[in-house]
Amino acid sequence: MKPARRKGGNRRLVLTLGGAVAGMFAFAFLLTPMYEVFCELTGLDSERLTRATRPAGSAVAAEIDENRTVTVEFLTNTMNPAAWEFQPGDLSIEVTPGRTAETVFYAENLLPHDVISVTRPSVRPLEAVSHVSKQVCFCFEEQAFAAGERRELPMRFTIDSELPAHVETLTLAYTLFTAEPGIGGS
Amino acid sequence: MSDTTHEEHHDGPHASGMWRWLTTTNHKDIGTLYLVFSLIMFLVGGTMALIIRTELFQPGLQLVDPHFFNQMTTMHALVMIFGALMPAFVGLANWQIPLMVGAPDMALPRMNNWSFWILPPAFLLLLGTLFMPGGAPAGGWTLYPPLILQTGDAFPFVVFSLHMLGASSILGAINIIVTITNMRAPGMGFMKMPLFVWTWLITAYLLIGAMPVLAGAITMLLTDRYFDTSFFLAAGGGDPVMFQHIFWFFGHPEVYILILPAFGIISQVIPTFSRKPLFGYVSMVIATSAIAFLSYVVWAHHMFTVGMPAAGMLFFMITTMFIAVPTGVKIFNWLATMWRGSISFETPMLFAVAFVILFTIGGFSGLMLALVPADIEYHDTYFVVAHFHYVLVPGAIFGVIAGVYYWLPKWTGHMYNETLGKWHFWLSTIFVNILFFPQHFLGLASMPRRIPDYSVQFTEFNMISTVGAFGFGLSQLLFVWMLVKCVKGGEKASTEVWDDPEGLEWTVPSPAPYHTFETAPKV
Repeated sequence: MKPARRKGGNRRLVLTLGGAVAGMFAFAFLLTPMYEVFCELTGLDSERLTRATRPAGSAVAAEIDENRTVTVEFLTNTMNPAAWEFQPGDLSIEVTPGRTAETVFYAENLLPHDVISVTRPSVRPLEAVSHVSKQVCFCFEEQAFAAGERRELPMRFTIDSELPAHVETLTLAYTLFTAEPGIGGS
Repeated sequence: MSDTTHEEHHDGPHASGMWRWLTTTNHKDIGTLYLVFSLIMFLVGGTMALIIRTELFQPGLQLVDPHFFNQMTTMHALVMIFGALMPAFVGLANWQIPLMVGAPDMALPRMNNWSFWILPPAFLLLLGTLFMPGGAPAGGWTLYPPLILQTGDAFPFVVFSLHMLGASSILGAINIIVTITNMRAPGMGFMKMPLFVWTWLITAYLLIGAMPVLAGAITMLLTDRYFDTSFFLAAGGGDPVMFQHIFWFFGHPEVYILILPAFGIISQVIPTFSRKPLFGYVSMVIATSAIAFLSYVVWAHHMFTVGMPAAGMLFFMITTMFIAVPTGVKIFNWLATMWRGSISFETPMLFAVAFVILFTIGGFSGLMLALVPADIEYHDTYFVVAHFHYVLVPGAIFGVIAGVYYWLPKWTGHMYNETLGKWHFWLSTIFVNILFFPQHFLGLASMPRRIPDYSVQFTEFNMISTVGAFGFGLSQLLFVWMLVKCVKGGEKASTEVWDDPEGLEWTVPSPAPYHTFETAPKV
């Protein structure tokens, strides 16, 4: 009387569907590396690109374009304003493409104990990302701050002359986080 | 396994009292459990909505503190989505799918019992967070990090309860797919299935594709908070925007999980009361599948303001607008079904017609939101609130209510009180518009959502909206009263209940006996 004829069919279908569920669960985690690859391919991940250009140094694209300057604006953010004072030394500077430029940032640990900071960089507009290379940046590694310590953070970078002509202003933004030791190593 | 010891000649439940409901594997019992549970959650979520609307009756902070207000907006959404709407649809599926495909029960009855009984403890956990230090989650039902990671002690409870709710719906979905695939009566091919069964089959596949992704996303939130991972923490090299992508990869199919079964119900109700077969059956099936497919490639339209290349915005805008095509096919099919039909307006039909009109309003505001340049203005305003409440309240909930009125005589054996039903309909329909229509104007005037206070120029529309909220909420008590009356007694319902309706469920007596179709019907 029981519809036993389809018992085997039920089991197979349940296993298939269960497999699909497990697969979709794994897929959610797979989205993480896929997202990174996608961002890298499309140039959306300015952080990764600015880091990647770090060791390139100055030798490669040393052609200097004296005919124009680009305005570079600096922006700082911190997720915890009660713990950090974080300011750019210059709000903006004029940079000649191909020539190395320098600026400084100031960070102060407002807390009464030692902390470590990590800073995440970002470049806008996106089409300029691949034309910025940084030789010195506090964003490359963790920075340790003693209780109440205030420090000058130098930054040296080059904008290459291939930068599209219509890009007249660039924004370099930095977001400073308090980090657990080891969390922000690159 | 238990076949040898199984009592062969019983007609009713195998046990009585609470034990019956705890151990039942009968699809009708479990359907009833789901429906009662969802009604309770509907009232709980509705109370939260009334707290929100009371606070917003006047500008300034009146009734609750902002943190509690945020808990209410978050919990209202979670309770209504996972507690009221999804269980209501699963309940209707449990009752109706075996009856509609001519099966004696669901394919996996024990798992069916399990998938229901996961729900009450899950909601105990979720609602219990209201009493924890730090309160219930208050970062919005979308659980965006880093904000949601600042939830107090409630955080792991929320995540775990969502895991349980996900497990419950996945088990339910597997059961529904297996039932529909393997248990159809001889002769009922896929293209002969009633549309409610079709829409549920597709919904079940959406659940299987989407719910595990949510489970993955909230697991990552959990490890970010407790196990030092940095999936979404910028400090550790993660990206909070990635959470939004993963969440909405679940979230958009989820909104179709909440509406496709309602499409199915409306496709059953309109033909019956128009006394015509459904117009364009095949196109309905294709349109539903197309909507389901498209729902996986539109997710980022929820995120136009977080930063995306123009090509990405264009892609998601266009795919979103494509959804209007299959949806339009459905709307026109319903209209064509009614065209020159011999229509009568019993309560289920009234709700179905209101569904078609009001859901379309929600659909159109959705199209407005799909436009990137416009969306940047509308984002996070009351216009969005108006949009999704139009598709969920006079959309999904009216669909459920139409289904309940339509099948209630079959379940209870009694006709519901038609006068009460008509009152319930008119009050609900008038008040739901008083409630949500002014929110369009508030949104266009840029009133932000999820904020307990607002500037004074928004006062009048907010007052109107709050009056509508109380009117709508109180009208639902009529519905509860009607339900109780109909379960207790009333005019005897015939086997067919309605005027020559189509479908196997109308061939069994009313009330439907505890066991039906033990020998499969011929189709």
